[in-house]
Amino acid sequence: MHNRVIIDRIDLTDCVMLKPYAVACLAALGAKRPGQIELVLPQDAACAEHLARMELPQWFRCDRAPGVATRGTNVVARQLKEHPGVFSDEVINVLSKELSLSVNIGRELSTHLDEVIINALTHAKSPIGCMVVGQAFPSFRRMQVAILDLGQTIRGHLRANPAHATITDDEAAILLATQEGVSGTPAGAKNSWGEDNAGLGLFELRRYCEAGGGILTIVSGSVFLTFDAARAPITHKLSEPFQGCLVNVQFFDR
Amino acid sequence: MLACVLHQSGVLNSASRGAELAHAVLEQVALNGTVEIDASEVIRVTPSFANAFVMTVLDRMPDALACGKVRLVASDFVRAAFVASEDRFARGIRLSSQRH
Repeated sequence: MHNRVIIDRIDLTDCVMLKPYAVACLAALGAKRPGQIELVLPQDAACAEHLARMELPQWFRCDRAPGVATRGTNVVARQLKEHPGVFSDEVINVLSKELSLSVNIGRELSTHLDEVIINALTHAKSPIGCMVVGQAFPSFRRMQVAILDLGQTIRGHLRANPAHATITDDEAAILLATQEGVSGTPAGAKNSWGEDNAGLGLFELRRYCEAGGGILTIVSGSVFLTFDAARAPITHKLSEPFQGCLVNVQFFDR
Repeated sequence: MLACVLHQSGVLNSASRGAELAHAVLEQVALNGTVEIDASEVIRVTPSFANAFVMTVLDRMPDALACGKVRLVASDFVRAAFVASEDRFARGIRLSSQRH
């Protein structure tokens, strides 16, 4: 509903826990109107400290944000609008501090992140660029990273390509976008940065997760789909359509 | 004649840079017949970079990699990213601007 309702106040009084994707969603709402939305932090002190540690209050009017230092195992809410450079390497380095990733796995994860971030920046027509939030869960031997944009749905992007103009629902669009070689950039054209696309970013990430490397969730339009090694993709309906795309990925320590 | 050497380093994750490297390689092959890419200091390569490079080169010069006109010096990890792009090209996957 972010594109239909002007939000003036977000009240988290009763919250006791927010996952990285929820922090990314809140940060994105704040980034749409920086400093204009009032944020009421949770009464639960640990949760309030966690949100302060993730630097969520920076996007909001927030009177009683506790002053706490960021943790070495978290990636605070970061807004990206330009090419990420080595940002993905920094993210994986931070999140893997208390895990035991091999060097090449870490580099592979950074590569997946790069591709998703660049997708969000070049395909999504997002007014905020994209928001990235990450958190390590050392006791579960995994890390979680959320990449969020508030632009268009995956279906909207794919339909810009005449080859995919007949896609009628969001589930089919997400499944198609995770196939090899599928891109919303029309044949003979380049993306908004003037670059070529081959349509591999989400395909490679899905393949990595379905090979046992993690759990991928893609939220866009009226559905979200989950991909992992345990089963065929699972589709869930959203009660409110989401105009944008959230890619949430849990990478396993391996 | 010694082959021209094009040095690359760090993280290669930009399709624009992949295309730039491809054009530089094609230019050097046209001038000298061969070219070497020294990617021994490259940390990692994204599919976007590798595709932009490999598919641009192969589209213009299909035998460039197989015939050794372009020689790549890189770790196995980095080389695998380029080999994967060659495989995609062989299976018919193309860059958006190469599609009709």
